[in-house]
Formats: sequence, structure tokens, C-alpha cells
Amino acid sequence: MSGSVRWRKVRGDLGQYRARTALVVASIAIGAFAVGTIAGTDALLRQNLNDGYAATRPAAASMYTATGFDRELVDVVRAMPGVDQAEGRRSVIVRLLGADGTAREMLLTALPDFADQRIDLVGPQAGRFPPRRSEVAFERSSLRLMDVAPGDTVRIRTPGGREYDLDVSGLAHEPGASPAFYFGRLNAYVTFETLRDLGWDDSFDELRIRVDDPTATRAEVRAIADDVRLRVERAGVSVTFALVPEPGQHPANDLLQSVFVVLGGIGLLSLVMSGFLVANTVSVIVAQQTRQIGLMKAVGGRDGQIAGIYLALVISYGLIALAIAIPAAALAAHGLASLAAGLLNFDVTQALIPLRIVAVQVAIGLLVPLVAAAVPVWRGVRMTVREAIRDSSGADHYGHGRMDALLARLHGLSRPALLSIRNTFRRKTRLVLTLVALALGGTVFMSVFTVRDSLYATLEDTVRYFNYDVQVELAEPARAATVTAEALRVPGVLVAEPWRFASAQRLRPDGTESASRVMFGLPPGATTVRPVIMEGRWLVPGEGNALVATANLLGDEPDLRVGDTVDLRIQGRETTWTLVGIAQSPTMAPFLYVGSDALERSLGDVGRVGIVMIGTSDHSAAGQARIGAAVRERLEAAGIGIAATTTTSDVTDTLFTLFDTLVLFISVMSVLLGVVGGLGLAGTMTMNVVERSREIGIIRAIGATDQAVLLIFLAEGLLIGFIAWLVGALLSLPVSWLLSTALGEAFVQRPLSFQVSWQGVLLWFMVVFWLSTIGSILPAWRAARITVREVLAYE
Amino acid sequence: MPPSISDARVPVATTVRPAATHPVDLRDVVKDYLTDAGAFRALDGVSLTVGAGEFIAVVGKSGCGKSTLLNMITGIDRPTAGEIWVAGTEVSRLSERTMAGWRGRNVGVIFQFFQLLPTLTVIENVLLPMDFEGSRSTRERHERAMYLLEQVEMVDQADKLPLSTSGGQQQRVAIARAMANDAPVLVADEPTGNLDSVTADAVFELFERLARSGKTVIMVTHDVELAARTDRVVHMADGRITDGPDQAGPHVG
Repeated sequence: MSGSVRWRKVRGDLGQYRARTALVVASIAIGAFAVGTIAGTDALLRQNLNDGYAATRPAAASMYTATGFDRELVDVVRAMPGVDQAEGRRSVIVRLLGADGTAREMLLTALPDFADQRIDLVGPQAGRFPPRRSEVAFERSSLRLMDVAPGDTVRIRTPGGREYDLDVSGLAHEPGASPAFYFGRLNAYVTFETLRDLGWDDSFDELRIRVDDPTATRAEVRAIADDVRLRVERAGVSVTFALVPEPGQHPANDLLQSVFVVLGGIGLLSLVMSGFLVANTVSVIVAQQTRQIGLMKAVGGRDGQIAGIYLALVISYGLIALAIAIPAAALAAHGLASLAAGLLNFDVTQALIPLRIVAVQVAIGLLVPLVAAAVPVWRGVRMTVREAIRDSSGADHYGHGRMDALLARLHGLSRPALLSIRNTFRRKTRLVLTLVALALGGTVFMSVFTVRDSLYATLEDTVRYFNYDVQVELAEPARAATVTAEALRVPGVLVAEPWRFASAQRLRPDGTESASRVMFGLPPGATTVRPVIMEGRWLVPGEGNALVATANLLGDEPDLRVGDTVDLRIQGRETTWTLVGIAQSPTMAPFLYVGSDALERSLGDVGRVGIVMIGTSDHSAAGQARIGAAVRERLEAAGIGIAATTTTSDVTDTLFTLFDTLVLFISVMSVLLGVVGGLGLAGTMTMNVVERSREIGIIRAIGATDQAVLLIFLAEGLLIGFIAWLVGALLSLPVSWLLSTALGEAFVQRPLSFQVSWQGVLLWFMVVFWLSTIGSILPAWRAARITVREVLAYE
Repeated sequence: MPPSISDARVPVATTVRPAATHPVDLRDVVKDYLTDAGAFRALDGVSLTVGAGEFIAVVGKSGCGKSTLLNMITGIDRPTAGEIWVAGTEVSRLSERTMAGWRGRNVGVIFQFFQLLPTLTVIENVLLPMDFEGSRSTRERHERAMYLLEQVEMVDQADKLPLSTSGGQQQRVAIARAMANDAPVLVADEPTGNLDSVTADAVFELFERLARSGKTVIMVTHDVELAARTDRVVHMADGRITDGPDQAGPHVG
């Protein structure tokens, strides 16, 4: 057999069986597309995210102070061992007044010298940057919260109640900053001159440093940061909080990694599914060409030569699939990367997918089908000439297996119904391959819904944990009694609890210090927090230095046990506490809870609070915002400056925004998987009709109408769909548990509160019903069109 | 399979005209096929009548047209010209849509290769035509199926799958299935072709019994000994019946 004749056969098979070719090509393409898109998006994000972040000279450590400091202290810090650069900033919170009377919080940041930035660079985006005196430049992520353009004039109100107009000079971009829409707060930049005009002095309240050694580990950076903090505190500046991120990584890097682990799992699933579909279709192709194989052997074809023909056919399928999948994946990856970049406020400047990703796609597009096809092809070519030429449609084999015997005992149904049921299980390998493909799509789809519901349940748990609606941060500590009384006068305020806030570091027995932890001092009998105690107990009013920590603290302090004595430095003072309980962690950051009276005694500062937790009568987002604004106005009118008000809706909405984007993408992927699974079902049903055409002739010979034949095959297709739905639903339980654990760690740093989504299960049932119907209707219709004459008349 | 000239004909609604008393009546039936090598005439003006209770054998060499003849009678294929009346219906004028239902009620077909559905048990294979016909209640169907299996001595294998039965047993079941709707005409294409002589004999005796009970039985066979045992042998060659003047057959009264 000459090579050219073999290739003619390959081309002929490709062209003659177009529907089958399309199915196999689609199966391969979806796997290569999924892997290429996910790997490509990951590569683009890593390239652009970390490279782009590194270009902004990110801070190795940041410290936030309660008291201001000047350039002199910054110079002192800059000269310390291990410190490469140091820079001060000042940030204040004002309210931007809209033309419609609404007010939105805005973080105004002043840099000492826009022209000589050294750390966490802020660059121009549009218009003029840096701003001049009486001008403001908005961080570009603020545009998602409000429309503002260079040349506009905005009015702001300071905590003291005074209003000023500022001209918008332009837009800026600070890649390392949290995007404005995360917390619903505008970000903008002004000069220190402007800040002075607004009533503030020109001291700094943030210190940012970079270290000499670019390869320093986080622990090494933390050690340098601790030295800097001590130096700063010796200068009389109170450090409230210190932050040391993972060196060289964008803050969102961990989140992205977790997300891509999940997406990678889905990509792998789609690859597996693709392999099953290819194996299924190729086995049918080979089975249908059994006689041709026998003839080729009879005229001298060797096993390897014949196998080569079919493997060449499979490679042809792969090449066609890659021609579609590679460009499609490149486009999709760029689109997704841009979407993610938009959410994380950075740019995708390097848009080319790395060649290694394309190479992986090529390998997948060629190797996966070859591996999937190897067994059916080899089985097919190993048949003897006698076996191959003799008709072996599978009819000879039905009845051998236990399943066949079990189904033979099924009674009480009409024979056409029995035909549908038993024929479903006739080609067991083919059934399994079809089910796996269809079930995988369903598993992912239902898992996504369960994970979404689990996230919502987790967020509700968080909201229940913190039993408040609005958190009001005061610009300066104020008398608790005054603040509470004023707040309670506002209509809609049911609860006003003053909390103290401090920053604490654990002094470990081995002499090391922990990172800064948030410490809340709660009034006796506080109702705005309802912790879930995992070990020990909650605080008891009037007891001494009792401490309750959230469970996620134990990750960094694994030696702590309930009953232990814990030494803490709180704003420069060393104190001793007893750990009386461990509470469930509601958020990603660990918290320490103490009684406010105990905290005041430790700080030597009685009766003044920095936070008020408000419980409102209206828990809707609009209600919380309205009452929160009213509380702010009331307190400001009483001369109490407000730094910020945050509603619980603001916090949960941000997480929903982030999560829903991911859920949308995964849902689209899962529907795609489902559609390909449906294509697989259509292919299987088509093959079943072709293989059973003689039986169709028989039943038509004994009186079956078109409708009867159509219903037999349609019922078979629907039964396969139903089984796939059931298998998918069962599989989705462990898969969604794994997904919710992984995504929970990524988004809220703990496993999500697992909640099965029956809505997802039902929705997939409807999807699979329609996929099965559509996938079977054409083959069933074709079966109904078969006449006895076509298949039986001239045997 | 080559396209048939008669494929171009548009079926029209059934016209049931009173025919002669013969259950099977073919009048000048012609069947031509179009092939790449040109037109091929499979049946060349065949006329044949078969009476009720008559058991005939159709014999001839391969390619003489005997299978085509059977397919004309069962409605599996359509004539190019001529009339085909079976059980009082002009079969050639039935639409494809109505053909299956008509066939289920009026003609029992027995194939050479048994053609039992492998996923149905013996009794279920016999029940299936009754399910399609739909006139009997569930109980009646079951009773009739058991009765038919008794007639063909296959009651003990009622719940077995075809795989667990022998060739002869499968052919018996095929006969029982062909009788499921009490069709007046039975057509068998080489029913003993794949059976040993003892089994073939037993199957043949079943046909004899059915003919004695009033069924019209038409059997295509290569077995001249068996053919000789029928009421009449119809010889075919080159698409024509080559028998003498009595090819129309005696009227069975």
C-alpha cells in the first residue's frame, strides 16, 4: 500500500464523515483551548503583575502611626542598617460632596515630593500629574465609583465640617494600592500645600521602607522593620500598625495563585473529558471500519501500517483542532488577563502568550488524542482477517455480563421502554466514556453554584459574627459617653457600642516579636460581636487582663494554648494577659479581643474610644448607608471628627464583586464542557443508530411506526442524560467541597461554610435535559427514517 | 443498495379494493434497479396468487429474484410496475409511514438470520409486535405470547436472552414473533438456511402446522427436499416464474 493511497484514505475519511470529524475536532479543541486559556491567562498575569509591581518600587514594610513625624525622622530611618530607602506620606479621609447632595468618602494622600518618589511610585494616567496647590488627582480606580475628569471641580468636606473646592488636574495610577472600588472609597492625591490649606499640618503618618538586600526573606525584612519601629517609637512616635508583605509579590499574588489552582483543576478536567470523547469517537470509527481493516489485512496490510492510517487520522483531527484552539485561547487569555488586571488595577502590557504555553497546547492537541485513540486503534488492527470480515456488531455479546442479566430481569415496562433501557447499557465502555464527558461538565457547573452559595453563607456568617451595620471610625479618640449618646439620638440607630482599637505585638518567650495585630477593646456585655467560641470561653465583664484570640492567630503562634499567659506590647507598653478563649476567625486577619476597661488601664487612657459600632433598624445597603451618613452628620455637628464610616454591605459587596467574576468565568467554562459533553452524547447516539440500523429494520418489519422508533432512541438519550446528571450531582459534592476550601483560603483565608446549592442541581438537570434532547433528537429522527429496505432487503 | 426507479413514486393514500379471495395476488409485477452499469430488471412481469392455507416454496439460483419477490409481498420494497395485493390491500400504494403498521398486522416476516433483538428476552421478542400494534391489553398480550411460545415449544426459555438459546430455538421464537399479531400471511426468507437438518425439519413442521391452520405461508429456500414437501413449488429464473400454466396456483378452498 503506497503512502499516497493511505493519505487519500485519511483525507477521504475526514471529508466523508464530516459530523464525526467535527465532533472529534471539537473535543480536542475544547481541551487545548481550556488549558491554553487558563495557562495563558496565568502566564500573562504573572508576567505583568509581578513585573509591573516590581517597577513601582514597592515598600518592603509600611508603618502607620498615631502621632505625626517629620522628614528628619525619615532621614534617620533611611540611614539605618539594612534600609535602602525610606519615605513618609500623609493620608486623611474627607468627604466628596456630589451635586445631588450625596457624599462619598475619599482618601487623600500627600507625598513629600511627587517628582522624587522613591517607594510605591504613583504615575500619571491622564491629564496633569502631579497636582498643584488646590488641585487633586484621582487614582484611576476611583472612576468605577464616580465620573470625574481633568478640568472638573469637586467639593470636599473635612472632618471638621469645612468645605473646599479642588480642581481635578488629572488621573494617576498607583499599582500597589488597593483599588478604590474594593472599599467603596475614592483615592486621590494632593500636595502638602493643599493639605495645609485644608487644615492639616505637614507631618507624616505613614512610613514606608525598602531594604538593601533585594533577596531578603520576609523574616529578614520583618527584623529590619522591627528595628525601624523601635527607633521610631524611641523618637516618641506611636506606631499603630506595621505591615510586611511577602517580598517581590503583588499583594494579590496569593489570591491569584489560589484562583489559578482552581482554574487549573477545571482545565485538567476539560482535558480529561476531551480525552474520553476522543477515545469514544475513535473506538466507534474503528469499529465501523472493521470490515475495511479486514480487507486491508487480507491484501497485505500489516498491523503497524494500518494503525498508522488511523493514528494519522487522529493527528489530522488534532491539527485541525489546534488551528482553532491556539488563536482562540490566545484571545481568551488576553481578555481574561485584562479583566483580572482591571480588577486588580494594573495593566497588561506584555500581551503575547509565552511560546511554552503554545507548545503545551500543541502537545495536548496531538498527544492527548493519540493516547486516547491508541487502545481502540490497536484493538481494531489486532483483529484477525476472519474476525474483522465477519459481522461482529456487539449483538453476539449482549447477555454475557451481570448488568445484562440484571436488566433482563426488569419487568413491568413496555418492550420499547425495555429496549431503550437495555440498549443504554449495551455498549458499556462507550456509555462510560459518554457519561464521564457529560458528567464532568455537570460536576463543575453544580460545584460552582455550591461554592457560590457557600461563599454567601460564609459572608452571612461573618455579618452575623459582627452584629453591626455601620462602623464609624473617629478622626480623634473621643469620650465614649458623648459619642454613644449622640449616636443613639439618630433615628434608626438601635445600638451604639464604643470600641477601643489598638495595635499589639506578642513578645514571645524566645525573645522574638510577632507582627502587629489588631486588638479590640469591647465594652462590657458587647452585643455587636457574637463570636463562635471554639475553645475556652468568651470575656466576662469586670475580669482582669483576659484575652480572646481568633483561631487564625494560631497559625503564626502555634504554641499558644487556652490558659497561657501572653505578653503583649501595646503602643509601646508591655503588658501581660491570660488567653481565656479561642474564637472562630471571621476574616482573614487575626483579631485579639479584650475588655475596653482592661485595655484602657493598660494604655493609661480612660474613657476615650476610636470606633463606634452602630446597629441599625434597616439592614439593607441603602438603609445602612443612610443611617451611617446621619450618624456622621450628628457626630460632626457635635464636634466629633469622623475619619470613615463603613457599612457591612460595603465589605460584602466587594467580595461578591470579586467572586462573581470568577464564578461567571467558571460557569461559562462548565457550560462549554457541558455542551461538548452534549456533543459527545449526540455522537454516541449517532453511532448507536448506525450500529443498530439492522435492528431498526427488524422492528420496523414487525410494525414499529416512525414515532415508535424515534421514542425508543430519544428515551435512550434522555436516560443517558439522566444518569450523567446523577453522577455529576454526586461527584459535585466532594469537588465542590475541595473548591470551596481552596477558594475560601484564597478569599477569606478559611474554608467556606459549605452549603449545597439545590438551585444549581436543578438548573443542571434542566440543562442536561435539553442537551440530551437536542443531542438525541437528530439521531432518533434519522433512526425513524430508516426503512426496512435500506437495511434488510438485500443481505 | 442501488436506488430503485420506484423510489421516485410518491405514495398515495391506501385504496382498499376488494381483491380476489387470494391472500396474496401479484399481477404483472416488474422491478427495475438503476446501477452504475445501467438498469437491471430483477422481476420481469411476475404474476402469482397464493391461497389461504397454502404453503408454497419459491426456489431458484442466487440472483433469480426470489428475495425481491418476497420483499414485494412484505412491502419492504416497491414495484416499478404492476400490482401487489396482500390481505386485501394494494401494498404498493401504501406510504412508508403506514407501511410498518400495516405490515405488523398483516404479514409475519421470518428472516434467515433469526433477527431477534438481543436485548429482549424470548418472550419480550414475541410481545414486541403486539406492543406496536396496541390493540390487546397487557394481559392478553402476555397470554398470547405464552400460547405462541407453547406452540413453538419454547415456553421454558421464555425469560432467556437470545444469546442463551440455539439457532434452532431462535428461529422458533422468530416464527412465534411472526405470529404475534395473528397475521394471515407468513413470509420466510431461507428460514432453515442456517440450521442443521434435524432442526430444519422441526421448523418446517411448524410451517406446515401454520398452513394447516389457515395461514398463507410463502417460503424461499435452497433446500429442494424441503421445497418438495410444500403444497407448491414456484421456480424462478432471471426474474420470471418459470413454472407452467398452473403458476397462478390452485385455489385453496
